[in-house]
Amino acid sequence: MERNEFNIIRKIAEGGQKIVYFAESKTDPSIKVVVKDAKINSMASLQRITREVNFLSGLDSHYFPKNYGSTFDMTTMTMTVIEEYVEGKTLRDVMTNYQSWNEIRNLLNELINAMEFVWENNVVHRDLKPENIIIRTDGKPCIIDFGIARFLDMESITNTLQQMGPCTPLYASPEQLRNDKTSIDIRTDFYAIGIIALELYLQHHPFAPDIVGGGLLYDNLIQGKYALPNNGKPEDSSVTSVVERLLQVQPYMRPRTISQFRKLINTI
Amino acid sequence: MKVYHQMGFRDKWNIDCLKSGIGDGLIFSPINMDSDKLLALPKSIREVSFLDPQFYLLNKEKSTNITYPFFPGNIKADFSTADLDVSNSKLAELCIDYQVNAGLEYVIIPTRYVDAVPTRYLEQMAENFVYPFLEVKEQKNITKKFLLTVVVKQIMIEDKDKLDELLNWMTGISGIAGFYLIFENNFTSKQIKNFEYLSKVLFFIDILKQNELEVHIGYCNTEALIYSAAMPDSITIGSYENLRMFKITRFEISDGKPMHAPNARLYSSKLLQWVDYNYIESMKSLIDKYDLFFDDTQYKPLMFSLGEFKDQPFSWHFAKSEIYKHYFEVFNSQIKSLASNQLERIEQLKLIIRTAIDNYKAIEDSILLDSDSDGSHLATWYNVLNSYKKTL
Repeated sequence: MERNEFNIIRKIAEGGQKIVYFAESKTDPSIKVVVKDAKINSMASLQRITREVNFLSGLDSHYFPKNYGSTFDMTTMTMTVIEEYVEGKTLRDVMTNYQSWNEIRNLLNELINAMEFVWENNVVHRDLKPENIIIRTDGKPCIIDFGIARFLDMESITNTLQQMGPCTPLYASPEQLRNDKTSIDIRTDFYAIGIIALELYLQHHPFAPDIVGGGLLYDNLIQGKYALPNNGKPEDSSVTSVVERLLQVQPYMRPRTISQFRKLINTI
Repeated sequence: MKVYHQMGFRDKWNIDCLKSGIGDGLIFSPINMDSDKLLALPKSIREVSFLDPQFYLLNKEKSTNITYPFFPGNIKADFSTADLDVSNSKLAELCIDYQVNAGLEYVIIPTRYVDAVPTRYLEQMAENFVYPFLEVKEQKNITKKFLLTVVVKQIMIEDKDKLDELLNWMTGISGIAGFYLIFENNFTSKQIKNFEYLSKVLFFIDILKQNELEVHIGYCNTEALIYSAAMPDSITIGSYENLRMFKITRFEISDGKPMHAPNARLYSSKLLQWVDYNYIESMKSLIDKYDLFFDDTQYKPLMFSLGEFKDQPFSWHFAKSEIYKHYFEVFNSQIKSLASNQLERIEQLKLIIRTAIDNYKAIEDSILLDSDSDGSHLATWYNVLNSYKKTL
């Protein structure tokens, strides 16, 4: 599919060098898509991104939006990706639906199901967060932002971390915060899922200074300081057992494989 | 826990002992055994053994390593580091094909040796060896387990950042069953007496086991008993000291200087030490029933001039097979007698150490031993075990 086949209805999001639009097919308005325009910094970035986009465009799963194609405009150094528009609400919007360990565990299992094929191919998302998880109308999660914008978000995350800019990466692992690229692997995603799980239980970001102490959330992230009990919500031993493994500062202390991850959350 | 023979010079001793049930397999050494001889061994031996490709110095030809098709010099004369970028896939294919066709227990991914660890060392190891080997594994659909060789230098154990970096890298590799580990250190004493070092090695092994990876430790000396507390999958027994302590000089061509012949030593499980034969001779004349401090094996009567050998003094010399076959039998038996439950094993080891300390007290009433024959390592070992137990 090409961009000119769609009417841009409205801007959904804008940030850094990326703009995301909601669009409808000119010939069939029931076909709704997301059009993402993103600036590429260099040809090296383009090669890397193209390899991964090609991989992701082959994903055929209801856990990811369908990829309808991508084009690159060399004159403007802009890549455009067209994806399925996923009906539903972000996990951020429906967090209150996941407060018990059973509800959280069911979601974690679905997230592992979603990411399994990707992880088995040694592709790391690097930016899992509630805003990137749409809960479809059937309750199943759909992980968005796995296309080109993710890679630019990745670059902006990397640049932000290097410059310690204003955008705090709330779900970054210690190895991401240290920009330790050799240590970034699927366990980095496990860490992000650990933060999400604990945030769902506490209904508050677990590294926030107002519940943990300390001055900055960033400092708490890099030191691995997080809260377990909070304001009238008692500690749940199952949640504690799981997140204590997932939120280890060193990746070698987290589950190493997908099956170990599954076993951790399903046998506690 | 398995016991592999670390093969070297005098490999017949190891093969004979394995055939008589001592040890669980062999680790073949290309610089000591030519390829045809390896392939001519019975299948029953090859299938419980594995090969260290010994790419440590890459293209350094030594003795029989050139008889192996995967020896880099057989791909290109003057094969250098730069050639690894171009030929790593070819090397991987040859090395894997050989190990698979030889019917060995594991396929071993080799490693380069470095003196000082360069900044991109782990990335280079991954690019030159790990990825090419795993690619061939996938292309050829090889189901045999792969172990990655890792030379763990002393600085990687002692420096926390390097330790974390190495553990994160090792545990982040998928597609391998585990590791063939070689702990390299610069301690000058014959037994390791450094509390911090031994404690961190136990931590290192423990982390790999927690990550459900196989841990096979090569070039082990008596400290293998301490390592056993962290439940590795195997340790090694080696005849000469250069097979019980990894030194890269073993793979270098000798410069022609005459080598110093080592004093013969005998291992005792009751002392947890290799005792210089000169002290054994002193004990013979100064301590009643001195031989009770040494283990009973089929070789003991000959070495201690007992029974039918009463009037035949034994000539202690490093070329005498009895000394080393005795050690193979004793140490193998000692390892096999360890409890399979980890906490029980640690308590058992502590008791063995206490008994050895008491034995030394008895000996030192009559004989003073130097620090390479005495029990000066034992207190540290005891403390290491207690410290490790607290972490469990």
